[in-house]
Amino acid sequence: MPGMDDVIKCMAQQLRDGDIVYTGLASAPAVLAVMLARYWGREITFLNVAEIYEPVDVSITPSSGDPNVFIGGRGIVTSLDVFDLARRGLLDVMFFSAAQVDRRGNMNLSVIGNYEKPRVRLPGGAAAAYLYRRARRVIMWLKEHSSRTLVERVDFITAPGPTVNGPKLSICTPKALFEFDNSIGELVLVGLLPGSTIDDVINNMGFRPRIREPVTILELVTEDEVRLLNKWDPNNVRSR
Amino acid sequence: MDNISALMRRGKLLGISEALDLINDGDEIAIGGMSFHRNPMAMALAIAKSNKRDLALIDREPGLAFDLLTISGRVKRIRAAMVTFEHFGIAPGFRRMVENGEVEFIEDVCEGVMSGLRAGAYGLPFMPSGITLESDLVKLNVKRGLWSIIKDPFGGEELVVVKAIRPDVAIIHAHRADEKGNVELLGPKYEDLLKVQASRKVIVTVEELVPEDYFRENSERLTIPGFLVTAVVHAPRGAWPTSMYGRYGADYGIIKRYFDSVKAGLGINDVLKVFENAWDG
Repeated sequence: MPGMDDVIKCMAQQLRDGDIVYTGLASAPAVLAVMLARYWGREITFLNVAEIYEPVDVSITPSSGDPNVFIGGRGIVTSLDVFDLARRGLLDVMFFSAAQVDRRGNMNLSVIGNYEKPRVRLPGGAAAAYLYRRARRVIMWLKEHSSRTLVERVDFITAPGPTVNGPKLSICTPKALFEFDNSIGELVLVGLLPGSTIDDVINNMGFRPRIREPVTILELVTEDEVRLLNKWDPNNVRSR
Repeated sequence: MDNISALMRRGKLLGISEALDLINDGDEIAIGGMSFHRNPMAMALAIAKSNKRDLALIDREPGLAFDLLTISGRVKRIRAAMVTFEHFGIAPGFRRMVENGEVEFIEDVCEGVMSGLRAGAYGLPFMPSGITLESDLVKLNVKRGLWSIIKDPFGGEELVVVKAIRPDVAIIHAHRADEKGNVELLGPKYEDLLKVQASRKVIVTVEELVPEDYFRENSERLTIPGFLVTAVVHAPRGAWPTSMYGRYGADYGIIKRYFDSVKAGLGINDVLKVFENAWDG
């Protein structure tokens, strides 16, 4: 059964040589994805909400805004500076998770139910109603692949999905990889984690996505990679 | 009058209860730090135990101090882009008070808080922003009179502008200060320097008081000049149980106890017991 470590590997595979990336709060999986991609040899400029510039190592705590998570940094780069970079169109990758995401790539981190009288008051979208459009690429992760998280229409549009002009959006779940097709404005199923099938993916979500054939079979984490993830995150915060 | 005479007597150095007197009922307070890091906990605990009323809070990505004040009964309105306890879950007091309608929540965006604080700091009425026009938050905050949509007078594209944020008080925890209010703040800054500039009064609590010649001998260490600071309070370990860059880490055991206590529905007096051994260490 694929788990969070495989989701993290899927996220890491979306990163490219030369990327300038930023990770936010409640984002241990994103921090670990950056570290994994670096381990594979990808050159990545690592900026983060803790404002520790270019750490060489990490030690995950319950807060990905914790300056003590990021070891051996070269100094401080503030979130204000990173957001300015993004506004100038120069931030390559931002990571997000969401409570709900829909066919159109709209995401919700605000409420479940009615906005004024919510069933669940979620934490709020942080930078979403800005960076979800302003980063060049967005890598999203969902801890749960279900009809609760992948919905036909989000309860509230904290941030709208990409436009024909971007950004590129990829979504990694414990079952599949989706990519947003900017020309048709819809999420497309492009990859499967070993052990899941197209039927399994579709029967466990709230809408029927288009499928790009042939669907790629994603790689599971290797023993070596699990050992590294455990070294960086010994208390398994990533799976909480 | 007492405050002013205290200032005259001892420079800007105040005790925590004197600093509390600078905060009026109904004030909007900008909280320093972020998440579980460099929160002004000593002041937040003092406010939570005070009889202040109808306070409003503002921050971009607040954590413990903000959540504690939200359940303290001292606060009627909060404004933030995200209120999270990160890998513990949704901030428990925030969730309870907003779902029950006991505190009004103005949901902002990081870009909105930053732009509003910039306008406040720059002495301008508003600031253009990169906030996405199609977010459902836009109509809510336009209706509240906090944001507006204008046309770029040079290019013609529509954009969201954010009204200046001018908090009545900023409360920031920092490393060192002298009694004239000159401050050394190491490590991550978040938006704390904008909060200092944008706010009408500034209370800085510090780990360590330094003599007046400290900044003459270490002039590169000045982060905030004293003329921007209203009061300095000596509060060693004043960020505990949140982290203080270069001095101590976050105490996640205590933060988890707070989280569990609030989630279990305990009232403010019981929740405050979590912090009782605050300065024993």
